Amino acid sequence: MNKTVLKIFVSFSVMAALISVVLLGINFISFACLQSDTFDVYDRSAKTILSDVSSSLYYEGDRYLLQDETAVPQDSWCILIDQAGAVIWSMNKPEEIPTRYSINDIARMTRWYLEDYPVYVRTEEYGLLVLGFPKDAVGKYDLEFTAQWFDTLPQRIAKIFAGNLLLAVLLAILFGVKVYKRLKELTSGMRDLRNETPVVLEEKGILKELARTINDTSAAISRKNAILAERDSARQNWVAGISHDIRTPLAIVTGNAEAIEQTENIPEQVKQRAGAIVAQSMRIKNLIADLNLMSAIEYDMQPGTKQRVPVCPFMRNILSNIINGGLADSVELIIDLTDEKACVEIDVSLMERAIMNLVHNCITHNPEGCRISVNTYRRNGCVYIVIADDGKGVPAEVLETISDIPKAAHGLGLPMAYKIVAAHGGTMTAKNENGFMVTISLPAAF
Amino acid sequence: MKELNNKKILLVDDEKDLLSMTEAALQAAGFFHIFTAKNCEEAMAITRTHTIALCILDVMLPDGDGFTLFRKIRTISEAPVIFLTAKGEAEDKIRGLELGADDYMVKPFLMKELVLRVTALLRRTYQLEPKEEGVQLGGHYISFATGIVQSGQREIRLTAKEFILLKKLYENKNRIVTSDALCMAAWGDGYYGYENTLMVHIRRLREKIEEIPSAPQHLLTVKGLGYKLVVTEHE
Repeated sequence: MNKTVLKIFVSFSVMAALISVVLLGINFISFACLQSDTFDVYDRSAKTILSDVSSSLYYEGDRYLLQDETAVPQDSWCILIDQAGAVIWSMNKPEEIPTRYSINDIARMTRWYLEDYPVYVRTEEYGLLVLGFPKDAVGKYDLEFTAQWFDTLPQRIAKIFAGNLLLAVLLAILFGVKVYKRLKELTSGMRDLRNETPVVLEEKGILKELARTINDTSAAISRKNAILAERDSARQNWVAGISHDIRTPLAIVTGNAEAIEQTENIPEQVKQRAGAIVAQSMRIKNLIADLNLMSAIEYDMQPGTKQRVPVCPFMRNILSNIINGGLADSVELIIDLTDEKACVEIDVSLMERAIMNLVHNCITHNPEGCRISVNTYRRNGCVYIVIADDGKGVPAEVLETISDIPKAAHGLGLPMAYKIVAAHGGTMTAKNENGFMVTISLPAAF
Repeated sequence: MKELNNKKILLVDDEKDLLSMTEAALQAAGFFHIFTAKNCEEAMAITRTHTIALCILDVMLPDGDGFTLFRKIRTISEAPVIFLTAKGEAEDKIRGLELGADDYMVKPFLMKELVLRVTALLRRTYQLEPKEEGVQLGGHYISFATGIVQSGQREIRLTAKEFILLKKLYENKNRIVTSDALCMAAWGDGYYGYENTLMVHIRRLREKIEEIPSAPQHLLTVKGLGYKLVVTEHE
């Protein structure tokens, strides 16, 4: 997970640095390409206007005249100063513009301003053409560099570029670390989300929306789980309640039938019927117990009291009980329990039930008898319990639906064993192999 | 048997039919001092005025639960208790037995079984067990009082461990007793690693009680599980 975040962080930083560098480059180039915008004041640049004026000006008689009046734009003005410093022609000349100029005056104004009017000059044989733009229309500043400056310019550009690049990367990393931390929080939040543990992330920063979505999703999951848990516990309580309500009247039915069965001087047939009632009542009792067990396993999924138990004695005890309970002569148990030290964490009565179910399954599926081999061993941190018979095996659909709870109480044995093993964090696989074979694997306890 | 049937039994259940039925079953079994109560209050009143020998308590009662009643009874009586429950949940069972209940039965139960358990509990509690003098195994008579095996004129004494093992096997006669249970009986909880020692003791025991120790007729090995003491009734 952290690797992913690191990857995101690296690619993010690289991307940010790259963008900065590209922007820097573009700015650099555009700055270099920067041109004066003074031609925007009129449709022509000052230089063009002056050249137009120059070509349009002609001398007639004792004075200068402008052939094309539009050569000088409307709100600008133009004057012609002769060699002696006198204005010999003017157009739109404002009042404050002097009519005589010394050399000093000329030197002062040529490149800059004349009475705050930005001016441009053009030297002609017959004098100096001065073009004035309206006040405040143009700003002028002077750029001066030594020749050396121009010589070292490429190196300096490279240095500035490198410096900027470094700064960009540093900023990207700085920013990236922040995002990295945030992403780490978010990914851990997502992990919690997957594990369905409640998530509350701080909703801030650029990933605020993402955090909010995760929080909302977590809240939704919690809500849903709460509803599910409530429904499950309600169902389980209902099953337990119904069981309780059935057991008491059933006890009365059983007791009375038993009393009839033991009454003397009544027909044998009546006794037999009473006996049948007792037997069937006991069957109902077992079904109720199974129902409760299944509902508990299904909804709790947690065995009640787990304890560390050595497998071999546990199995010997169950198998002895099965044999002591009476086993047909046609059934033979072949027992091979290895690894006396192997232990498992189990709810003893539940797991006992599972093993009992599996052995009894072998017996009931082979009415004409079979050899049942029971085998335990430990391998790779797992304890295996293998129960196999040499009988006719079970139908394929039983194997397919082994993890499903059957719709009827009949055939509950295998699914119940499956659920019990699963509730212990183990696995149960069943197959037909020279008979029916079930392999249970449980994590070994140390 | 008369002494046993004389014992006073308290029966508490809120279900009237079940109460009368159980009472009838116990009466049929020969018990005639049976007190019945439908709730905790009645039960306590009876316990205070009579020396109750055994209590059979329902877990769910109208004015409290059987566990609370059990604790109250315990303050004035040491009588053994059998819980009856319609719940059947493992927790109830564990809770009952943790409190010191002697037995626990889930409804519906067979009256036969209840009577058996009541009788066994009374015998155990009041030391009314019929004394098992000894057992005849083929040509050997084992006396439990002395721990001596009598084979014709010859008398052989059993060692302490051999005696414990034989007693354990005899208590579960004709049933398999796992080697674990035997080791537990002889060496206690930390019995691991005694399996080989157990085999040695069984071999010595066979030498004392079997005609042909290599072909035992009574103390049989059940391969992979444990041992079984075969006792035929007519012997």
